[in-house]
Amino acid sequence: MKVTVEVGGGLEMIFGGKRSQVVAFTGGSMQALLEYIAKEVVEDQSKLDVFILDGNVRPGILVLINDSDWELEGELEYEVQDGDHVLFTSTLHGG
Amino acid sequence: MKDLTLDEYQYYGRQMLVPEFGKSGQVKLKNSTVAIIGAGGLGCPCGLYLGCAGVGTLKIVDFDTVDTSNLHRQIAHTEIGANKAESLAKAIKQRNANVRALPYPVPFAADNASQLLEDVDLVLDCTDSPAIRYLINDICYAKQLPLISAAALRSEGQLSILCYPGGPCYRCLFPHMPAVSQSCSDNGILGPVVGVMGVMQAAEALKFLALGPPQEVSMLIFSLFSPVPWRRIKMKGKRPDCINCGENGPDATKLATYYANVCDTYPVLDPSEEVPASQLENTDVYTIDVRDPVQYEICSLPFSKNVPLSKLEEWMETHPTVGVDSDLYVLCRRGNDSRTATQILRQKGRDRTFNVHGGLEEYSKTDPTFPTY
Repeated sequence: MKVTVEVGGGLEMIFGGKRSQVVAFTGGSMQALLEYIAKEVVEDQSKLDVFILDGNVRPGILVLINDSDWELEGELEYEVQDGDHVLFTSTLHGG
Repeated sequence: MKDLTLDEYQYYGRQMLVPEFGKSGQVKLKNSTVAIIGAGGLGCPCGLYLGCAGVGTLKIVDFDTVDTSNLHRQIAHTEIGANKAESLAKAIKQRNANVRALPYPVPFAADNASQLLEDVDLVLDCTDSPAIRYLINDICYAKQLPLISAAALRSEGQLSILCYPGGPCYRCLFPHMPAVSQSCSDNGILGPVVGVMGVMQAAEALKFLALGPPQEVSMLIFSLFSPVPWRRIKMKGKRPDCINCGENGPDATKLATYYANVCDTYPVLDPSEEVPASQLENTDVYTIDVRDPVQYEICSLPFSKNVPLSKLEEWMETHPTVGVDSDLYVLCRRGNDSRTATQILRQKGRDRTFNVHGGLEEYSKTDPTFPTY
């Protein structure tokens, strides 16, 4: 299945500067998608910890599935669908 | 409620013609008091629009002074060294004599927060530090004051409406304060990006004052370089286990630990592991600059080599003897990232590695022709 993975809030830096890309995912839960992204999509593995901490998304990063907070969708248990849009972005504090 | 004067009918005529807003919205604005905390990139456009829109009283809190590097985005300010709250209040008064713009040139802190927000109907968080954002939130919840919070960094912005009756607080949306905060001075900010967020904050404030709280919990996200620059995100509402507004009420001990937040996570070096920045004048020591290439392009020392922190491991493989058989200077903008790099290099046995204390900013004091940014 095809899933659009978009990142922002500075996370694009470990994705080789790519903000949005369509990835070929074999299917499964958000947990599986996260593992796939961490292993196959992140380009700067030395800084993986700004994105993933202890097997989950680092606190302070918003995860949005099709423009909804992933907490409304079941978080790690959410079953990823073909065509889904997943956005990871950091909370901003500047002003 | 005080009605409009004849002058005000003329001044606000165009916005009263908007059906959703109307005269009733204008009268509500006139009789409202809004606190703007932070008179920077968000506060300037937000304050100017709200002042011109006719919000009766604006309380503006900021202790900071105007610096040249603020001017590309903090569009109300014209005088370097002026207090930002006073500068913004002056800019509003010049445009609209019908409103009161009251400057408070003091830090917003736990001991004066409640007093500063006395008699306020709506609070706008236009600040730039996570600790203050959590503090503003907690006071707003305690005083039952609605809060419109906006933030911006680099090319992105976020906005949410909080603390209205039944609505979530900032901690419901963001329960964890980040370990390391990213600031505009270190990461950059485009003027129109923070500007558009400040303008959206003003627009949402007009809507809130005229029509009341939103029906849905959401967050507005702007990202200039994203294929979809604007998004309204559905968010989960109140969090029952929130340490501020949750079922058990505010947990004073847990809340207090947040205000003592320290973002400095850089290693501490022994003075013998550092050299003063003035040493960079007339040196033939191998010098690496660990800033990212974007910053290196802005300005750099001609004899330095750009080795971004993320490429340090690769550089070590191709340069096995530098810092071992000969001295190595490590440099960055302010001497923080270079401390991290120095520690890594020394841990790998490169005992002749030295951090350039204070970085390029300190060096510019020795060589005034060298730019700071």
